[in-house]
Amino acid sequence: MLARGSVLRFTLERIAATVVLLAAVSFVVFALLHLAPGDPARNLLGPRPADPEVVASIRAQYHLDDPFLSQYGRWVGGVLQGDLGESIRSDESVTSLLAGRVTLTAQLAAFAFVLTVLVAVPLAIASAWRAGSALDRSVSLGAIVGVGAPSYAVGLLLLYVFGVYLDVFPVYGAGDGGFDRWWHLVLPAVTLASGVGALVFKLTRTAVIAELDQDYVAFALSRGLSARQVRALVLRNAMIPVITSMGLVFGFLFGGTILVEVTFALQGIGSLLAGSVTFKDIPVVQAITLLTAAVIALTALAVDLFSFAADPRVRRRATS
Amino acid sequence: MTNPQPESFTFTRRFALQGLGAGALMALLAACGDSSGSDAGSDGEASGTATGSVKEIEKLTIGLPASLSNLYPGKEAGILNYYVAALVAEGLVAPDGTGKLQPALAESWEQTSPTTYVYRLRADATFHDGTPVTIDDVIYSIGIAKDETISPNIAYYWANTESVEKTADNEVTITLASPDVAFEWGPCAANALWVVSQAYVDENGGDIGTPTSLLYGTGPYKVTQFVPDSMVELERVDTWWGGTPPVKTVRFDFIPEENTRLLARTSGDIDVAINISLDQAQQWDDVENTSVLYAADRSYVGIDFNLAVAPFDDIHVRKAIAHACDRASFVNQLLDGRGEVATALTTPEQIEGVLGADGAREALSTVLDLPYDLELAKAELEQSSVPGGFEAKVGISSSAPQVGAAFQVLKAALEEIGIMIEIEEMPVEQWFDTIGSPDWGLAYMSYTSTTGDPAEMSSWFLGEGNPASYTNDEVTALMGQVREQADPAERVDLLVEAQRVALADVPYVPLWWGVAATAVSDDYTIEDFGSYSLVSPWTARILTRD
Repeated sequence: MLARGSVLRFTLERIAATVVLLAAVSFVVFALLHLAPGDPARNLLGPRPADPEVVASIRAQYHLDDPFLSQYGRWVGGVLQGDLGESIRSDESVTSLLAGRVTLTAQLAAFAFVLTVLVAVPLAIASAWRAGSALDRSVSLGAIVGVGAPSYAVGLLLLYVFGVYLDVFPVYGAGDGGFDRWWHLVLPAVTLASGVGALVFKLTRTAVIAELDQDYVAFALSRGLSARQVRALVLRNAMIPVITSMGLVFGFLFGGTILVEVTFALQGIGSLLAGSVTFKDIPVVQAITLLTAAVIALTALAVDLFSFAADPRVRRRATS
Repeated sequence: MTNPQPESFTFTRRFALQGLGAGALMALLAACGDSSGSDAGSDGEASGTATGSVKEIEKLTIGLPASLSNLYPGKEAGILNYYVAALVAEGLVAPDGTGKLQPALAESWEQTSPTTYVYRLRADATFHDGTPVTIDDVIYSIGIAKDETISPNIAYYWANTESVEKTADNEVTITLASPDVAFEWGPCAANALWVVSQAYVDENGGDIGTPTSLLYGTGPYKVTQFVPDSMVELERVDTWWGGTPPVKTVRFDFIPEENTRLLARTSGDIDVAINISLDQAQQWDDVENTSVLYAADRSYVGIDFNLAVAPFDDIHVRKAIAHACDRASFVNQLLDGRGEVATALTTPEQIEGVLGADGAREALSTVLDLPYDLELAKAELEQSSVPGGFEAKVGISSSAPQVGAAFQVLKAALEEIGIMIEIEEMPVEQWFDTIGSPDWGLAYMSYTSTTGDPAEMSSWFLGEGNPASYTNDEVTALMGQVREQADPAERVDLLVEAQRVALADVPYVPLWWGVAATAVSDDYTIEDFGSYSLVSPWTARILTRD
């Protein structure tokens, strides 16, 4: 009972902190965009004879001449009423602009995450178990390459081999929904997972090896516990740092899809953010940064709750 | 006083994104490719004259190098927006293959006074749902084009219109505040008018060109699906006055990474790739079952000086830099011979209709007389206010790698005479800010005229508010005459003269006139592919090869 109450309090506190964090992020990003060089009105016009009257009327349309705080206040007011505003660049509402893209980026990140977990973690455990073996050495080498290779190069290589040469997977685009969508996401997800997967592999391997070195392992073995029983103990203990890192990995995947999106011509939020920042399309940039920050904050919260459940020491600290 | 006209541009805004994905691998692939480039495309003529016949084509998939976020070019005026819109919506007039205006939605038109234009609507003009086009729709569409909050990119062109009136059931009369011969290019889908259905816009919330309120016009295709930054799909209609084009479905996929687009053609996923990067043209040509078509695209690249900024207020400084530009090697080395050394602001394709291809080049060759010669450059600098040299910076858009390369070459040449140039690469949006800015005495312009009006760019560059802060009464007077001279041949003479007088003061240094390259599957060819093909309903001229 005590633990459940404290979990609730902990969760509420964290959610409150997240809201404060998001407010701060929105203000900082708004201010940075305000200070950045360039003028959205000029960007709409392109490099042409910018008639001062035309520029003035475009600036008035988007309230670009209002004082900074009043612009920010207008934006906050809209958001509190559920209105994220309209894109300056395309005239589309930010909500509908983001709807399809968030789904695609989330699918891509989730797919890559699942691949990472299913491939990197078991490989890391197997490598750690036989540290120094041929398997360990070759997988570790692969991980170093994976960490170092730029994702667009990996993506193009995969495209050439599996998209053109073997002609198994589609070359670009997000498909027409359903299974076709996932089929189109295989190569992008593998590309995205390759770098992060290598990182997770190294973290997991290190965690398991560290755990294997603990005295209790030797003790358990000497007391006649089976290898399988010992392995279960080791894995449970090694899991906590691994899960924690995995939370960060998901946030990274969600916010780090841009190069993969550009390489595979996917219309996710990464490519939209890049274009919107240089254009100074403030409402769009605000919405994407907030969304990304929220995903990262909520993932961190989920990870902490998991530690709560998995690690009695954390529970004890929180309740004392 | 002259009234500069709007224009359109080679790039789309998010061309800048390409740089993110490209990088080292792109350079590597380019370096590995055969760069000998044997075809002579430097005359600017379209190559690829394979024959074919009109046959039903179920679907044509086209890969574009950048994304569109809005289909209405008044809102987003990248050249690719024009190419897509040309299939969906029409203006009152349209260019033919030589850049001469022909009837489109107007069956005929006449200029009844220097400031009055009368257009008569064709009786068989209908929107995609079969509703007849009315003069009210035309007036409504002009109203949209004129409104700078709806059409920031083209409103400027309509600023000189005093009234737009229905003068008969099928007739609209446009009156200008002051004479401007270039206006005849205004009501054209290659420039500043796309006639849309007022009923459709009203029904769909008043926006235009968005996924929920599409571009809805009178062209041979209607938009069936638009996913911004991803794709747009068009379906043939049977309501077009011009007949039924052979291609049933046209799909544009936006593929910002050039290597991916190349692989998409290799795998057969796309049939056509528009505006391929010139330094990869050979790689495209090497793809099985693929040919590359070249056509001059009326683009201009040149140096802009800001005469209000020292030391560029000194003509000797400007001449020194001009003499250090090895323009022939820019074209031969950096563009692989695709393109032409520019000798004027106007491109030859914009006066070919009047003077013919050879006559156009001959006339323009007399405009600029500043040969590449480092000795002359040095001598000019010694006569200047900064004989020992100086430091300057220039901002280059990351979407213009060839311009960046040209400035690297120029930088090396200028170093020899003591001028130190710092090159700053920047997103295309930041580059906009360098044009005519007092912070940037040295800048460049990359500009594609969408129209065939020979004065399109000059009226900005030699008019009031020009980016060089250049003033010359003789040039102003000549440009005033260009605005009013109705006789095409005399108008070209005046325009060439204005450029000759102005460029003697070197506010600008033309570098090259560009070529656009389009890769096409060998199953098809585009009939009479030329400079104006892509700004008219071009899929109507797709032939299946025999």
